[in-house]
Amino acid sequence: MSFWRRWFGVGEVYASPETQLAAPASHGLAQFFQHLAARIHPNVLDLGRVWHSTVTLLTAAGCKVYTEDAFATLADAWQKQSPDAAAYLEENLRYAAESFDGILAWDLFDYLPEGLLSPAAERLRVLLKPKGVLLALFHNALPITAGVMQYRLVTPQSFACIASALPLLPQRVLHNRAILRLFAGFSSSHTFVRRDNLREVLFVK
Amino acid sequence: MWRTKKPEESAPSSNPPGTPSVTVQDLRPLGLRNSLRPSDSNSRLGKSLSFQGELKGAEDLYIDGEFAGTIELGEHSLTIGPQGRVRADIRAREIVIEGNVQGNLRAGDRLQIGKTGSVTGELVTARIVIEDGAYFKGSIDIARAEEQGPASEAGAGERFRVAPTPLSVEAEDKF
Repeated sequence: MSFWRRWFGVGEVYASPETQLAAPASHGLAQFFQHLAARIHPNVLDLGRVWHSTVTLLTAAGCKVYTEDAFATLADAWQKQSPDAAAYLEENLRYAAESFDGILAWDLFDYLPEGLLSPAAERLRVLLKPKGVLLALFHNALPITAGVMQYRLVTPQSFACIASALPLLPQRVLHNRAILRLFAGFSSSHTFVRRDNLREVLFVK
Repeated sequence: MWRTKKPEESAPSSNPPGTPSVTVQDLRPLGLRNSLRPSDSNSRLGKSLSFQGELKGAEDLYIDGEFAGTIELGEHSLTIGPQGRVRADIRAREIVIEGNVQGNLRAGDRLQIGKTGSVTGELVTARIVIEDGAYFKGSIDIARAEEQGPASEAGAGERFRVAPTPLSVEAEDKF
């Protein structure tokens, strides 16, 4: 175990499946909600699994909520073969341009294969309205266990991480410079470092 | 003056033969309604039945079979059981889903997606409950004009105050 910890530079062992971890304050999420508050009946796309509390909080903030579990579709695609960018985007994330005021991408980009990174980032940028916001999370180190963390809003300033058995492996650690290159089409970004080995980045179109 | 201690209410007995496998006991800890079980007064489309077309009615309906078309129940409730497979646009006062549904759903009062439920489509409702384990792809819009209470009233332990209007009404963008 210690070998793998050293190899992957793991600072934290994730909880067993369906275990919910604590919900520390999320400055990125708070900023996300602040941006939404400036809009009338904003459309929000959640790329994670549907959760009652997430829907409740977003609708309470006046949002129309769209849910598409990109993690599940990605896992399906992996089970067939390595996901081809064109084919994946042909079947998923199909919305009209400038449909959304906010997108919760969670840590999806850590799980996307290399060829899908840029096309997916560009697709999300296109889906956002001008000045729309995208909240993404990036791990500081690869987790030692397979499986995906799922994220559930707890308050407008915090979310809980829930380990799931979804068969996905993180592909790499994206460092800040690579992230900025990947999302170069956005007008600005704000990074918030968390204690739990995650970075929150809020991109503004 | 002092209340005499009432005998503890007995837990509901196990399902009678022919009723869905999802029990009331499963739902009660989450504060969910127990309208899942078909009662004698409900109309029912059983597991082996398949129907295609337009259905209108003024009574509660339970579907555990296949349905394709449109369903309009006005002020009544629709329950789709665990075996139910429905492709339809649906309007009802209350919609409870434990099976598979594709279509656009409009619930005047309340919509509930159970843990075995799978829904793809556009939902419009005054209140919504989504159990852990449910699958949903589509959009959820809360019908503000018809809102009658807090959206999370029967949620899984959520303690959120529900604002009936957006947090701010100043718009940055032109719509």
